[in-house]
Amino acid sequence: MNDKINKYLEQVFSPYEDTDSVKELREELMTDLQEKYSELRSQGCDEETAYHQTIASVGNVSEIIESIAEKTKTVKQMSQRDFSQTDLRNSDLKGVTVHDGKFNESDMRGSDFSGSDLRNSSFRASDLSDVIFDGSDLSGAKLSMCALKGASFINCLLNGTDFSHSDLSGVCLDNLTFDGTIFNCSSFIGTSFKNAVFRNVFIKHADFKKAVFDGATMDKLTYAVLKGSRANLAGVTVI
Amino acid sequence: MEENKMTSDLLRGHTDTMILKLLLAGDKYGYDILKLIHQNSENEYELKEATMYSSLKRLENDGCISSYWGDGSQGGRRRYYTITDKGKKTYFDNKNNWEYAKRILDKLL
Repeated sequence: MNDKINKYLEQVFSPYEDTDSVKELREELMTDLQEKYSELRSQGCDEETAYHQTIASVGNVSEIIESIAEKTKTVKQMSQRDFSQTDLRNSDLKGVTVHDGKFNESDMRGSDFSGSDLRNSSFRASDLSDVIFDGSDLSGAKLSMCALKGASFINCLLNGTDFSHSDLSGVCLDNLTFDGTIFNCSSFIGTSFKNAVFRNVFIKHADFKKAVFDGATMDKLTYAVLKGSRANLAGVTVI
Repeated sequence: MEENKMTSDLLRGHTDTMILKLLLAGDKYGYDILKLIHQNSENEYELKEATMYSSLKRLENDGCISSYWGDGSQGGRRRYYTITDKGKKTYFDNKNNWEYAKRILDKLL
């Protein structure tokens, strides 16, 4: 019977994008409905009656979707993937998929992109302060000329990501792998790269003097260039 | 449950306050709230899941409540809701407004 209830919810939720908040809502509804169903059964209802009464207690789901993360809905509904010059402050954008999207010159302070797929999207000249990118795929994305103060990149994929001319000061980039990542002309005052791995990265005109590289691993070329830019490379492994 | 549209709209307009009142007595999860509203109305009023969750999500966005995942009964997890100080103030404001409106309506109707 749980399968039947689950199928019903699946169908009810099918028009909406599967963001984290929608998934969590479905989980909450599922446990509620299971409990209601078993109560009705223990009160002597037959399976069919109990199922129909359980389903009838749901009401109109679109009512809830409207109240969770209005901006999530907007992102899905905008047919062209261009959000340039948009005010997206503090938006819940968890788990969205936007390939080749444009978020140029946008104010996205405090937004949450956790678990999102943002491959090849462009965030040129945007304010990304305190944005959460945890667990998202930023491969090939352009985060150039961005403010990134307080941004979080835990477990991000950053292959070929372009951070040119961005301010990464104070940002924690520990344990990440940078493959073909571009750091030309970026600032790194107090940036932490502990246990990070560097392969074929681009680092022209960047000052790494005050960045932290404890436990990092890097190829010879990266090592040589970083050394040239006066980085402290004690505790770095060269591969 | 016999009620006309006006009654049901009137009641639904107070969903937030009903939920806040229940949370004043302690943290609850979704189905708890539905059951208590049914019981406390002496089986005369039943809130739909959708109406309740839209109210819960709105209250959370407004900072009147917060939520956390806790253990459920059958190994699953449940989301519990807690009232915040702002939520308490909202409850008492709403309650006072209702008392006031009720007094006036009792005189006029």
